[in-house]
Amino acid sequence: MASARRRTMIIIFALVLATALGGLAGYLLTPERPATAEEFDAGGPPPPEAAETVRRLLSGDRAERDSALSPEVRELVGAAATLPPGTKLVLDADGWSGDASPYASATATVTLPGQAPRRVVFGFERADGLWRLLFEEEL
Amino acid sequence: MRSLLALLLLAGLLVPASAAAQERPCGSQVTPVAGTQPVLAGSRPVLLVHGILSGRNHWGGSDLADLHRRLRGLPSVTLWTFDYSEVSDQWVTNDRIGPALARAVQCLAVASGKQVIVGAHSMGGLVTQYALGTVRDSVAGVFTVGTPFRGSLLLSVGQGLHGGAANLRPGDHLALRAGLALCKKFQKKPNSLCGTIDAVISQPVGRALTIDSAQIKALPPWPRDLPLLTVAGNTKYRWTLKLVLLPDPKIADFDMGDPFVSVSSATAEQRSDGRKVKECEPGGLLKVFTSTCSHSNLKGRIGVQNDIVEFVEKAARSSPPRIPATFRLPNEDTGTLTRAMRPWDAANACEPTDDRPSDSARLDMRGVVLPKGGDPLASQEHWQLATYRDDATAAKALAEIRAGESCTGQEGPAVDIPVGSGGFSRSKFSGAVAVGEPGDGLFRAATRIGNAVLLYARRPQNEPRPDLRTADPKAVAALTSVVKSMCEHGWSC
Repeated sequence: MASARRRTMIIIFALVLATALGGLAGYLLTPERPATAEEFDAGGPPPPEAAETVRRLLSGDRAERDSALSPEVRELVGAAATLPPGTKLVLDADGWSGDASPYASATATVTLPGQAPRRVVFGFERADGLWRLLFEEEL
Repeated sequence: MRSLLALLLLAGLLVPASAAAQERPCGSQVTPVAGTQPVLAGSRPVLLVHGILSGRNHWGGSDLADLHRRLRGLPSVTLWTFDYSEVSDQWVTNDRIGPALARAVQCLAVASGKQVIVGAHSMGGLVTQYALGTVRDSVAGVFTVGTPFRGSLLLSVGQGLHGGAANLRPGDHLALRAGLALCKKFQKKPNSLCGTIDAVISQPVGRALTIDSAQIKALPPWPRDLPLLTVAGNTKYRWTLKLVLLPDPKIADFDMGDPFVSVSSATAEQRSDGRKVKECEPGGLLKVFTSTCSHSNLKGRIGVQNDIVEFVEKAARSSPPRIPATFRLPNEDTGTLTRAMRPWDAANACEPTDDRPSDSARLDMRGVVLPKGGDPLASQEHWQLATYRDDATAAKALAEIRAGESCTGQEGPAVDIPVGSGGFSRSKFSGAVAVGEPGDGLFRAATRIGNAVLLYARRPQNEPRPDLRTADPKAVAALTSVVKSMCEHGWSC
């Protein structure tokens, strides 16, 4: 009786192990695995105007915050609250990817008060001399 | 001894050239996909055409080995790639692109005796559209994956063009601009979609690929009767701002297509079933650009490959051998292309508006008048070749001819014509209808070969009973020649 139970336990354990290994292999091999920051092209230093965008994004004044967003983003955001005081947003010193076109993206670290830092990539478009936020994506 | 050496040297020079000719019977731009396959003659060629800034390995490489194996598993299929990589940053009108594809298709059709099935990725579909303007008759069907039939919205927005994007919702416009911004992180990778966009965006080909460009509008219209499978990919972009907008995260979904080509552009030429849209789970931009629904990855999806194999199998089976564009009727230089009324209909007072079902299904009719330069209405005899989209329609047309046409009011019985002298037997030319009174009506004999109906008509003069045995030997010789020629070109004779 005890040996039958033991055999059953071994079979269940083997099945669980096989499922876990299969899942891990599937995760590692899946072609839909999102790209990671390591696959990005090497970037450069952010332009001076980007610092102004960051300052406005962190501003407690909603109108000033909104001026750092592209018009459609502003529309989607609506009356959202501003970031909590103490939030840090630091663009990587070598994470800016842009050229003569009006589009650019940058990697950055965002740290909300009391939370662990998070890695993100931001997308910007240049309008009226300012880089305005198009998207945010967590890495 | 010197002669022997010379011979050996000559043999050494000739053997590789001959092997190369066998390997590439249609020139250096057409290459068999690696692997064993049947000989070209008598096979069904499937020709893969790559897209912009790409090469034959993009369709014919080992990453699609499973698709190649499955296609080769179909009866008599041979797989080829058309390579224009050296000029793939040019528009399709370049002589090494569209015109070269037309020549390649013609060559494969003639060498195989079968119509070609073309498979195109991305701009390869527009290259195919250009070629179809001249070689439609040599093509049995086309499947496209991510072809921008109406151009690329992403490229248009990237060039600051908003005309084509006029129908876009503001949010869709935002999503495309966000995609262009993300692309800055990948644009130095030459084989990536972002690298391609960066390379062509300021080039003439990039302008040609914008939405509803003049260059796209100048392409020949897509043949409506051509079997077509269009595959499009779509990943919804789940736009979100949750870090910089806490505690009130915002989410919105946008259809991004693949995202180089929107779903509506990739399926714009699809008029019947055959429109396949592959949807991937919504995700961020990184996912939009890398999912299995994305522009470069789409053709690797199992579901897409299933669709392609099913389409090729169906097209190969349902498409009978038809006249390749290079097919030349004997004495065709004496002929006239007749698309209006048949001469004998006019002679029998039929109106153009009379209902003749087979006529509306007719793709082409070549009338060859004997003697040379004669007027179809006045000539004593002539023959015509009409082609239809498939065997069944041609059979219906033949049945109509045999039964006589209601507009003539002269129902004639089908009679066998004993034709032995011309090299084709009674069974090959088995139906005939006598129209009008003997001695003054028209006499016709017809046969079907594959999807074509060959018809001989003559105006009997003082003959008590029309009989092809009394036909002009020149006409019989011409008919014989036509039938033989058609059989040699792969008709089921």
